[in-house]
Amino acid sequence: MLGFLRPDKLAKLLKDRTPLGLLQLKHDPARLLTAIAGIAFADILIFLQLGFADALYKSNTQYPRALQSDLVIISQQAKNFSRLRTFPSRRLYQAQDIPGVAAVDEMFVASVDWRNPQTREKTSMLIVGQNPDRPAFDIPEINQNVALTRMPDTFLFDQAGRGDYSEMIEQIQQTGSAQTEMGVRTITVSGLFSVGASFGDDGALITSNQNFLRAFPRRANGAVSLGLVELEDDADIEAVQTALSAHLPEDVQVLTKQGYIDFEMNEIQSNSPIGFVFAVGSAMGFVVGIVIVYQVLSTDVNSHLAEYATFKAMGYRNSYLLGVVFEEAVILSVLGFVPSLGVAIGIYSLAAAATALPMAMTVSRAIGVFVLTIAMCGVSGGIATRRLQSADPADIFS
Amino acid sequence: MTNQPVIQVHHLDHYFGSGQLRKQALFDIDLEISAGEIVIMTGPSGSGKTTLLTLMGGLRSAQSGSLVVLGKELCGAKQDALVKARRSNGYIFQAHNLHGSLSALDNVQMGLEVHGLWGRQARRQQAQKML
Repeated sequence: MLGFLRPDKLAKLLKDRTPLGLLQLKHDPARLLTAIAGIAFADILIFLQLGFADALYKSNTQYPRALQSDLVIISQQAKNFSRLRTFPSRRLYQAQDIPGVAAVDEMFVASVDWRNPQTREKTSMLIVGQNPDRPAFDIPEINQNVALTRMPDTFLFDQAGRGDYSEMIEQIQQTGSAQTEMGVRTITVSGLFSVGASFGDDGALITSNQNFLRAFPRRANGAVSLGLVELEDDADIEAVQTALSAHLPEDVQVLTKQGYIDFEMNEIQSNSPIGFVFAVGSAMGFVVGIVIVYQVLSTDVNSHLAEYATFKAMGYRNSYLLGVVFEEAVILSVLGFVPSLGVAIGIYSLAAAATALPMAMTVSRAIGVFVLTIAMCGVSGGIATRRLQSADPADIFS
Repeated sequence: MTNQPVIQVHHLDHYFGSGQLRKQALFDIDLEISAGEIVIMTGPSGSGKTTLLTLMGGLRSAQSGSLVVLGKELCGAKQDALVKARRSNGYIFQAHNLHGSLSALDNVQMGLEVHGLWGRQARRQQAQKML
């Protein structure tokens, strides 16, 4: 038996072996096609679930990822970027006491209903107010137009958002601005950028702190969503973070930029039901795949039972017949996976166009799903071969 | 070697089922067959002809008594020994049970492949000669 472990012997064994599984599959093209379609279906299901989950994670952390500051101060009760809660701006002045802190900026974030100037419909937009002198994001499209937001009631608009804004975008590109309504105010959109929608909001508007406070007159003055801390060049980020955490009262938390991104990811993955929903969806795809492959393989085993028994009577071992079924399982998983990958990439680009969510195939996901497919077919093969395990070939004939 | 019978059966009993339903099919069989001997076995339906044949062919595990084929004791033998014994037995089924996905040539080659002694080319030549 140990001879099986030597690669040269194994290669010779495989070369000399009659490819019975392959021949059996080719013998019945209709059954082969059904199996491939079934596996591809299951794989596409898994790909879509994982794709949507990943798009959700990405789209909800795009702004946190693009932040330029070294440290971030948020409320202890913050949930995620669009529900940050607020804390007193006094905390930002207190933060400046700590050595190593070069500058602290306030940022305001809220969701607002605005009227799409083209369809006259109200949709939910994320609105961000930042200091126009010190842009918060590492997004060149925003930063080159940021001076425009110094004008009263002037906003930059996310053209990659959901909804039909083609006329407004064209108007801005030609004349430089377009007007619409937000609450009771008439606002001017005078610049465009591309980030993309999230699940909660259709798009985003970026403006100055002053314009943000004009748009939300009822918001308590000095209620800040996010504190952006920039450090001096030679400062030790973690030391300053520790000092800030100790210095500031417990109503705020101080995170590094990566710590804040992890905080957002963790919030989505564990505290919102969405991560769980997509995990269940993927698991369902996996189970559907097992059932389909099991149906195909067990039908195949049953219809070849007498032939397999003859092989056993000739002196073939159980392991040989199990090998044939697993050979079929592996061939099926490869043949099913390849078309599913193509279809999934197509659906991703369709879904990305329809929902403005950042959906893309990653190599790691493709490999992951392929491994899952092999596991799926292997499990099905294992269940399907139970009947072959019975001890005596004579029992299989009866 | 020629004096020694190739198949020796002594006091062979065989039962089907278990518990209350346990039923004896073969009762104290004694049989010796030498090399080159042609034996014809007759009996009414259900008398145990096939049971005895499958036992001798190694397709069914013998339960009690003694069953020696080609010098190997099959009664109480391990699965592995049974598998090895089958490789030296020929057995023709009522239904031919040839593998439908394989050509006739391939089906013959499957009988050679099980011994693991020949490569693909050698098997093909041998099978072609036989056919």
